[in-house]
This record gives sequence, C-alpha cells and structure tokens, in this order.
Amino acid sequence: MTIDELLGEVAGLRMEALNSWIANNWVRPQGQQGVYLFEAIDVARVRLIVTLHEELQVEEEALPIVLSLLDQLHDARRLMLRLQSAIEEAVPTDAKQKLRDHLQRIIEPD
Amino acid sequence: MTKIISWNLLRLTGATVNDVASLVRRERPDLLLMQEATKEMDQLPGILGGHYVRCPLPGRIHGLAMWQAHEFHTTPIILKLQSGAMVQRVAQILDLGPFAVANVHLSHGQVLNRRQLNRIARALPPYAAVLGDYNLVGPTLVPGFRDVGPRRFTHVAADIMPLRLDRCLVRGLRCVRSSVLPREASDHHPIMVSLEVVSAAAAAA
Repeated sequence: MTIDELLGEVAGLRMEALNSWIANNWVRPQGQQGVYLFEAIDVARVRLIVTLHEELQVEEEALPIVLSLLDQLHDARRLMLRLQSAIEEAVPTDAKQKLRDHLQRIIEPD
Repeated sequence: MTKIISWNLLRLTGATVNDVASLVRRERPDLLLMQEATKEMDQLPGILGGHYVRCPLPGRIHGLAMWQAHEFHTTPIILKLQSGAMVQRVAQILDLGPFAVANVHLSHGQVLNRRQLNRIARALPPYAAVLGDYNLVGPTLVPGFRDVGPRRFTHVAADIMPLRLDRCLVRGLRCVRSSVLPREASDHHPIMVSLEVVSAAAAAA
C-alpha cells in the first residue's frame, strides 16, 4: 500500500503526523521517503497509534512508552507461543501433565 | 439474587446441546450466557423449555446466545463493537429489570478488547454486569466496574498455560457467590456468579 492509499484507508490520519512517526521509527515501512510501501503490519501499527492518540488521548510524549510496552507484550506472547509449541512437540505426555499441574500451583490468576 | 452462568462452548467440537442442557438441569441458573454457540444450540428451548435467543457474529457460524427459564423482560439488543482484524465483534445486552447484563466474546488484541469493554460500559445503565470470554490478560481496570468473577483459571492455552479468560465485571451490584464449573468437552470452564443489586445507601456506605 502506498502512502496515499494509507491516508485514504485510515480515518483521522494526517501526512505530517505519519512522517513524524516514520522519522521516530514508530512505523517502519519499506522503501524511502516519497516511495514508502506499507505492509499489513504497518497499517495495523498506524491504526494503533491513531487509536492511542486520537481515541484514548495518549499524548505524544507518552506514546513511545506505550508502544514500547505493547511491543514487549507482543514479543512475550510470541515467545510463549514458541515455548508452547516446543513443549507440544518435544515433551512426553506425562511430563506435560506434571508441567501443567505445576504451573496451576505456582501461577496466581489475574 | 440472580444466578448467572457464562460458558464459551467451543464451536462444533466442544460442548454439545445435551452438555448445556445437563448444566442447566444441574445448576438451575436464572440466566445462561453462551459464547461460540452454533445453530445446534437452537434446540435448547425444545429440550429445556424456556426462552432463547442467539446472535451469530457477522459472517461466522457461531456467536452469542442467552437462555432463561422465564420470558425475557425485554428483547436483548445487539451492540456493535470495534472490529478486529479477523472478526467483527458484537455484545448482546439484556435488561433483566433490576440490572442489565452484557454477554461478550471480546477480541484477542489487548488494546482492542479494552476499548471494546469501554464501549460496552458506556452503553450500559448504572446497574450492570458484563460476563463472558474476555480474551484478556491482566487487570481490566474499567472505571466504575469491579471484577467479581471467580479467581480461578478458566482455560488452558495450548494445553499448558493456565489463564483466567472468563470474567464478570459489575457496577452497582454485589456478587454473593462465584465458582468455576466443570468444562466438559469445551476448552473453557463455565463461570457462575450470583448477583444482587446494592442499594444506593449501601453503595454510599
């Protein structure tokens, strides 16, 4: 998706703000200024920033902190999925049962 | 006091209509809320009597459903929620008279599901409960609401990681009793809460 298509796609998005987000590395499209190409993940990122800033009133100064914490959450989630997948493939059934029981004992529900 | 059960049935391969009917006969809830309910659940009033309404999520074979023995005070309304990347979500809201209940199956995104909760909270009257599969980790922190659901795991992700995804938030209500019930063939345990309205004087105290 080009920058013009993105501006038409995301309500409330302004060119000036988008350029600033790219300059700050909050959004990382392919290409370079004037010929940026946005993948689906970039579009989702732009939508998230618009939501945080416009709907949830997160100020410019706080935005990188919120984005960084969300990135860490997503990284932790990806890591957990890989760990689950590894356990699924490599751990025998009885050991999995022990692990599941142990986790239920040591983790407090939110 | 109103006894409410909420259960994500796990569409197609999970709890059957007979599992749901057995749960109702055993627990005798005033109101049963279901998530991932398919057309099969439409047989429920034929088996149990009572009143039932199902609302599939747009473009999906499953969705939200409610059953209660008595006639609905009013017809449940559908509240459109902020859309996720994959699924258009809605909430089903029932006015029970003394308070309203929202039946929810929220998105997996941890910002999106909180935004959806905020929209639901704004749409509800002062005395209200929100029950269902929140797909949410960590505290909800919805202003004015308290999390009164059972503090027990309700789901085990990938058969390993225990999570408390099924929750109950209330505003202006007291939870007298709560528990997690056996999950049968579903991947979620049902949760049960008994709720009553807190008088204005008690709330102020």
